[in-house]
This record gives sequence, structure tokens and C-alpha cells, in this order.
Amino acid sequence: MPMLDCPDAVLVIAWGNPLREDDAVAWHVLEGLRSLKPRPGRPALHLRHAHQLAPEMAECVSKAQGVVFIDARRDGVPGEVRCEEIAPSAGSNPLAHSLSPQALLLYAEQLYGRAPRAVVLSIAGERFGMGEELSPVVRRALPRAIRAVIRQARAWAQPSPQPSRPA
Amino acid sequence: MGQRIVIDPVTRIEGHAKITLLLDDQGEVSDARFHVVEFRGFEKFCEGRSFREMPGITSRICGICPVSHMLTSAKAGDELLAVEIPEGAVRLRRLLHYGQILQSHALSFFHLSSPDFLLGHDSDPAKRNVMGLIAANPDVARRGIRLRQFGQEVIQTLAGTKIHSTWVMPGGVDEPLTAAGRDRIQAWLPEAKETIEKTLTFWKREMDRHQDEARVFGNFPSLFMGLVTPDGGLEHYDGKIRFVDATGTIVADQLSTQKFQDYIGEAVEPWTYLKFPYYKPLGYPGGMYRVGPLARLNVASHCGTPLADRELAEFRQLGRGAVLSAFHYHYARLIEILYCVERIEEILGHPDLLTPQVLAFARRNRYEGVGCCEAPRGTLFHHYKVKQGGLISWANLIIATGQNNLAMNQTVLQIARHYVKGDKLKEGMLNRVEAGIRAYDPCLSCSTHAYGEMPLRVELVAADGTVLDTVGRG
Repeated sequence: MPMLDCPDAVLVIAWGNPLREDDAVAWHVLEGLRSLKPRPGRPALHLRHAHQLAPEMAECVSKAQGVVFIDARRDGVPGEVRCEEIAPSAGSNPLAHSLSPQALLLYAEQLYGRAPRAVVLSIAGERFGMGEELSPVVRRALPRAIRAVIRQARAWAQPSPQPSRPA
Repeated sequence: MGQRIVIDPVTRIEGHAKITLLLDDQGEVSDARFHVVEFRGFEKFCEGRSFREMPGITSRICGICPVSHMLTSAKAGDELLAVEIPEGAVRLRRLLHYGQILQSHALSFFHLSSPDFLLGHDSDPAKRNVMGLIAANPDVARRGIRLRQFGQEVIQTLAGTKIHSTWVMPGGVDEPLTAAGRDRIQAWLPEAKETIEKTLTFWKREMDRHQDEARVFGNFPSLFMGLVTPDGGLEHYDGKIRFVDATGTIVADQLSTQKFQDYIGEAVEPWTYLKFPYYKPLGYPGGMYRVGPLARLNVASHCGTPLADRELAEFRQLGRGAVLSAFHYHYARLIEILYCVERIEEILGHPDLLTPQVLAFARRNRYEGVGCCEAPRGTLFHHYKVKQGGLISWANLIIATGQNNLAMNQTVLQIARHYVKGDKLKEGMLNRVEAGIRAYDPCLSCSTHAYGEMPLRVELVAADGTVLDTVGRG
């Protein structure tokens, strides 16, 4: 059985549509994280981006030290960065091939026996029309969002977390 | 007086669909219509674009089968260039195509349809989904997810991304396959083969519990159409067109895909945006035909790979001549997954797989070209006319799902007549109608992804506007 590339690190998943202006903010945060120079003490991050969260991601999620989901949101003051803990939950997403972060955690727990700690880091967007550019206010929020990811990863940097209840 | 039941929307997709059921004075279903109520417009807004852009543009018609559009569009471009693309490119395009078909069929069977089979059409809609499947049979769910993932890994390894790639282009493909890429795909084969063989064993047992569905889900005579090899074998990428009738008799054979307009006509109806292709010699609507996995296994005399041929022999016992029930699309899909695994294995072993010769260069040499492939859901045509400079002046896309439109309408009618009675509606009835559509795995099926949970409302309304009964969810 081929092993997936799922390092023992904090998994950062950026998702959204890169052609819909501020909906691409998560991809920009990811690129910012990717460009960071290695620094002693900085936790290892495994970076992935996707248009949608898919069931196939559940295995890697189950193996991660923790998961940071990054996405844009429509409510709130544009540029506001919010970090919220989430737990596994089926939710009400009716689509079978596109999941919420909570549902993906539930897949990880039910299929692979473990749902790691997870947060959703969301950045309030201003514009969601057709285009590849971020609005200025959201672009200015990128450094705050990047720092928030690093901060969260540091907070989790400890020996293996307690396993969740068995599937 | 007659009454009308409207299911609206049936599902969410790139567009919407709804179903209208018309009742006669006795409360029996007299007619049914499957409406597609949104307009995409690709054929129009592509005018003025370069034909070289079309694979990238048309791949965005769908997020489930973008590869099919990309390949078919590129083949139309090959015709406009008037080139024979390198054998190495054909091999890689086929490899991509088999990965695409495999992942699409896995999505359809495991994610969309299996909750109905394993949990029942009348089960709680809140649990009749993949979560319910995971709870009922986590091993099936896990294997299904990984099987689809295998198909996507093939696509990503070749094309660089799982959806909306630009790797396939007129003349061939952009880059050759690396040895590391080949090895990465090869590592998945044992598990993929084991999963599909186990699933086929499971399904053949499971079918006994669904004899009612097999009897009424689209079980009627029709023509079937698909691509075949020169010796009449199963074909997905190239080949010629064959039609067979319900007895399995060949009606027309080795028809050129370039001249599809000689034998396929398109009708329109005022109540839907989806056109109605039909077999011209029999007129409309008598020339109804079906495409897709069921049709492909009906038109092919053999698969050409040992394990799939073994399964095909068993599959044929379901019909006298052709297998007619749309319910057996699910079975046909599984056989095609097995076939794709075998073909992927065969291609990966080719001594020239890694050749760098994968792209032919030419300028436009024709003003008109047709590309044709078997998408997961059925035969797909891209027909382009270009003007000086290679800019599209006219485009017509005949989508696989559209070719099943007449049959899907008849399927809805058949199911509704069997399950809808009088003036009372039950949620399980709605799900069965959706399941009948889902058997075809239409490209509208993003809407049927919302199994049992779509905001779906059915009203039974008397002629004077009185609402007699309502069934809704969401």
C-alpha cells in the first residue's frame, strides 16, 4: 500500500478559489509561509493548498501534530484575522466530495482513528469578484495571518497529543 | 382533473435541475420531465478564442471530469493542425484518461450511490450519506476513498494538478513522464486491483437485494452508442462509433467521429436547456440512445484485458442481448474501473513509456475539426470551426449527459409510475427518483452529491392551486 507524504508536523491547509480575489487569501498566506527562512525553534510545517477539502486528505490529517485550516470569510471587518478551535463534526454540508474542516476531522477520526487538534484561521475578505488580486486591506493582513499560523504551531509543539476516541 | 408535482431543485450542480410529475385524474403519473434550468453558454463565449486555448477553457466545464474535456478538445485541435501526434503522447493521454475514468467512477459508486445501497432508499436522510456509510462499513468507505485517490494521483503525476491542467494540448502533451512518476503510479496498482476485485464481489452479492430497482430503474429498450476499436473491442480514447439495439444487434458500425452530424441530430424542447441528441435514421424521439458505461459494455464485443473480460462475460447474463436496466450502470462502472487498472498496468510496462517525443508542432491546416472521447459518463464530442488565425468562429459540444437526456426522462417516468401513488408523497419516493438519475451519473450530478439533504420541495397542487400535500427537506 503506497504511503502518502504525511510528515509528522503541523499540517497547514489553505483552500479557496485563486480566481475570486480575496477568496485566494489563504494561498497567499501559504506562499508567505513557504518563503520563510528556516529558523531554530520554528516548528515544522507541512503546507498544502486545495480548491476544496476532499475526503482523500483525511489520512494525512489523521497523522498530523495539528491542523491549521486557512480560508477567507465573508463576514467581519475586512482584514480581520480570526483563529478558532474546531472539533470533528458532520455539519450540514451535503456535498460528498467537498467537506468542511469539521467534517474532514470527522473523516480522519472515523476512518483512521484519530482527529488531531485543529483551528480555522480565517481572514475577512472585502471583494469576492472575478480577479487574481487581493484587496489592499486583505493584502495588509497577510503578515498578521502568517504570524498567527506560526504562533499556533508553536503552541502545539510538544510530544504526541492524546489520541481521540477510537473509531 | 390533472395534477402536477414539481421537484425543484432536484440537486445543485454547475446548474440546477428539476423534475415535474404530471398526474392524471386517477392520481397516476402520466408524464415526467427532467428539466435542466441553467444555461452555461460555453459554446458561445468561446467564439473568438484561439483553438489552442480551448482545452484549458473547456476543462472548466466540470470539476469532476475536466480531463475528458481537455482530451476531447485537444483532439479537435489535433484535427485542426492535421497532425498525427507521437505515439508517446497517445500513450500518455490514454494513461491520463484511464486515471480520470477510474477516479470518476469511484466517486460515483462509493461517494454518491453506495449510501443508497448499503443504508437503503428509505433510511433517514440525515444518515444516508458518506458518514452513514463510514459508520456502517468503514472498510468499504476507506477503500473507496483510496481508490479514487489513486485515479487522482495518476492525473496529478502526469498533468501536474488534479483538475484544470494545461498539460494536454493540440499536438500532444506538454511534458513526458518521469521514471519517478511511473514508479509512483505503479506502487498503487496492487491495492487498486484488490479493492476493485473485492468491490465487484461485494456488488454481485448486493445486487440480489436490489431486484426491484433493477426492474424499474430505466429498464426499457433503447439503442446504445459508444466507441469501439477496429475489431469491436472496448475503447475510450480513439476508435469509431458503434450503435447496437436492445437485442445487442449491431445497427451501425465503424462510423467516423468526424462525421457525427450525419448520424446524430439534436432536438430542443422549451422546458429545458439540455438538448436532446438522437440517432438520425430513427428520428426524434424514436432515435433515443444511451451512452456511458452500460452502453460501452453493450456495444463492445470484448474488453481486451483478461480480468475485465471475465467480468464482462458474467455481466452479459443480466440481459438477452443488451443489458437494459440503468441500475446496472453501477455494475458496468465497476467493470470499467477494473479495465482501467489493467490498462494502466499495461501502459506502465511499455518500453518507450518515458520517451521525450510527446509533442508535434504544426500550424493550423484545417478550418474544421472534431474531437471525440469516451468521458466517464459517455461519448463526448467537441466540434470547432475556426477562421484565419485559428480563432474559434463556431463551437458545438455534445456532452455525454445530454445524450442520455431522453433516457433519463423516460427513467424518471418509469420510477415515478412505480412509486408515486395518489395524493400522498413520501421522502423515499424522492430519493428513488434521484437515485434513478444518479445511476446515469450525469454531469449534472454535482447536484445529486447532496443525497437526501438537498433543499428539495415537492408539492402536490390541485388544478385550483390548492396544495394537497408537501414533502420537503432542507
